[in-house]
Amino acid sequence: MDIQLPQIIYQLVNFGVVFGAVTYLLYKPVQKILDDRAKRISDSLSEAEKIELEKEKIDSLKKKSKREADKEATIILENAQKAAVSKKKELVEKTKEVLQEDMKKAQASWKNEKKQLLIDSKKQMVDAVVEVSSLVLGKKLDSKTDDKFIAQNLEKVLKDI
Amino acid sequence: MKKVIVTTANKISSKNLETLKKSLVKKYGKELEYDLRLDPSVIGGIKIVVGSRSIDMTVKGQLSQISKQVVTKI
Amino acid sequence: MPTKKNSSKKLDNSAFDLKGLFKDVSSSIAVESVGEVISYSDGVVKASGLSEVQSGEIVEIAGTKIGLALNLNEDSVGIVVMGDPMGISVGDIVSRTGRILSVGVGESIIGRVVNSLGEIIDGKGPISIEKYMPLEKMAPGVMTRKSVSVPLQTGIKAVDAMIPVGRGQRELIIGDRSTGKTAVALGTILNQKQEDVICVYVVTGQKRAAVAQTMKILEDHGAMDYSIIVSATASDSAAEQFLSPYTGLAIAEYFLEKGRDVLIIYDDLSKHAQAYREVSLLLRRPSGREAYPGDVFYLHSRLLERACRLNEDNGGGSITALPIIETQANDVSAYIPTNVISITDGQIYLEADLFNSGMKPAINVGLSVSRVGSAAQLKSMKQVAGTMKLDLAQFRELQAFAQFSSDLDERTKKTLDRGVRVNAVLRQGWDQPLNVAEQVAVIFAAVNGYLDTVQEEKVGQWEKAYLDYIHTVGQSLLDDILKEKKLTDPIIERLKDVVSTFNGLHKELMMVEEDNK
Repeated sequence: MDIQLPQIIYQLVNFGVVFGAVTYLLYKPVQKILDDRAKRISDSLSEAEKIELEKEKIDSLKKKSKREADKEATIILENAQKAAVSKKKELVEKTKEVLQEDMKKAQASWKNEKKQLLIDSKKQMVDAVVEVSSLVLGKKLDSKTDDKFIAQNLEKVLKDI
Repeated sequence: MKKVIVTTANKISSKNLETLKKSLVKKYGKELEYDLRLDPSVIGGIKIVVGSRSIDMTVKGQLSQISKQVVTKI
Repeated sequence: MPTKKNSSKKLDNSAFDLKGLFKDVSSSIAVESVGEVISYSDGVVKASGLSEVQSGEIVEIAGTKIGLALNLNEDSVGIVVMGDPMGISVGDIVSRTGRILSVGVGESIIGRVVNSLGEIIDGKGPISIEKYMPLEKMAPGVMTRKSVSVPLQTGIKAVDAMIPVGRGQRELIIGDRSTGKTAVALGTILNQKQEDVICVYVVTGQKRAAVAQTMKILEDHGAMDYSIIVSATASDSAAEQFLSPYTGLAIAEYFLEKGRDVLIIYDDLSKHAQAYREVSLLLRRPSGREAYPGDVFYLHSRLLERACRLNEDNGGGSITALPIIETQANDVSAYIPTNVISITDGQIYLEADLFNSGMKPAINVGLSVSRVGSAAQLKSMKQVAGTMKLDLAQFRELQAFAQFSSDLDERTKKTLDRGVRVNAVLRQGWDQPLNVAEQVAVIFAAVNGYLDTVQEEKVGQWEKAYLDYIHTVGQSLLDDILKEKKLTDPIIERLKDVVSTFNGLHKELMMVEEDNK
């Protein structure tokens, strides 16, 4: 058989050239692309990790501030409750005071009314007594008594006038 | 000319009037005009008004003074 | 005399002992100085005689009526009849009483209503008279006085912050009819509840219905426990109306001598001057400008000069006077208003325009003045309200300007917003006085911008809710403000905390936010 040795060698050389070209032209870039892809994937993985960490941090912060707010709210609530209780006590005391005041006022006004009634009735009695005396003395004194009366007091009268 | 108003229940006796006139002339001089009034409601006694001074010695006047005094003490 | 021993333990024996009353009576002959009624017209009696009567003396007409001898002529005496002049006939005897016009006063007069003669008119029994105070008296001398330094809290934010009144000062309340002058005065009385100040409210020439209403208001608020009303209403004689302020002042002087602080309100002096004009014209005294007699200035000056603050040697008491004058059509340059303005230490000027536009109390802060000023203001109040008057003045200027331009720069807008809210904070119900600590808290919030986020219309609600809140949560803070008398840094910090917390809790009062603030 006539093996076409130069052809085989030529094929081999051809193959070698093609292989070399492909390797040089394709392999490196493909490798690069694969490398890039791997890098991107690992980058995004670490990014995701970081974000995860951040999220946890924010979560714990949220929890903390919620706890603080709850504490504050409970404090405010407690204060409000205490204030309400003391206000209620105050109100009860005040009502008692007001009732006592009213009673005192009523008593005082009754006392004053009585005083006024007393004075009015005394004045009326005095007037009555004076009326009665003038009636008793009659419409007028008779001349003789009158003369005597005047004579007795004339000295006193004339001294002052 | 000072005016003297004398008020009595009954007509004033001449004796009393003389005493009165003598005293008044001593104090106020001779220029005196007398107005003798009769008012039975004063019951008794005498009231003399000279110028703007007055003395009330009537029974009625005394009674009203007494009542005034008593009322202020209440 | 039957004694009612058994009916009640309180009526003791001596109460009904009439015989005892007659026991010490002496039948004395009294010389009276008398005169006779010659003529009578319009409440003025002309009498002859009475040669020894003193001017200003009380005389008795026909034994029952009281008169005041005011005109002493050569051959007659002009007597003004007090009370009902019906039944006087020519020839009636007029007799001297020897008493110059005076009023009987005692501790028990507190809470009562009296007339110009000092007689009780509220029907609640007699008062026990401890001293007779003369109505006409010389004002305290220069050396017995002390300068005004203690504040009189009116309870009205606008007054206490920018027109402060001190004890011993005379501050005029002036304005047209229906502008709230009486409301300001009554509000001041209501605020004296915890202040140990006796209040005397003198009514001259008003309706009796108004006096009854006032008395009921004071009773309902418990103010009658430290107040006295002197009433000379429109149907009382001109002489009684003319004397009523002097009666009130005599009562006030009784307490002044005991070292107490007194507040006296004359409502109002315009009607008082009119009553005096009436009396003078009837007495045929010569008339001057606006038919007022020549001494109408002296009438008011001698009244207001007796309001003073005494130094420690004379008891340390004070009389603060709040006279009220009614102007016609805002004319403060009329005769009587100018007289009284020149006598008093400042005025509170009420305007009808402000009243009608909803600003109550309708105090025009620009025209109102207090010549005693911040000497009579608590330090804490001075700190918060120090610049308020200036800020409000700037705001008013900008307000007029802003009505015409719609595009305002940021700063002007801010000043306007702040000014509107500070103005709104000055609104107050007349019967809702605030004590000093509450006022300081509210004004602090306003001038420091804590109201800037509140809606304009809701400032009133904000204030009410804030005061409730601060009473429940921050009562100790208020007590400290009162105690410390000045705003120390810790107190300021606490105030800031309280306000911001409150603002946080009441989002419904805040303005709707467009962006994050």
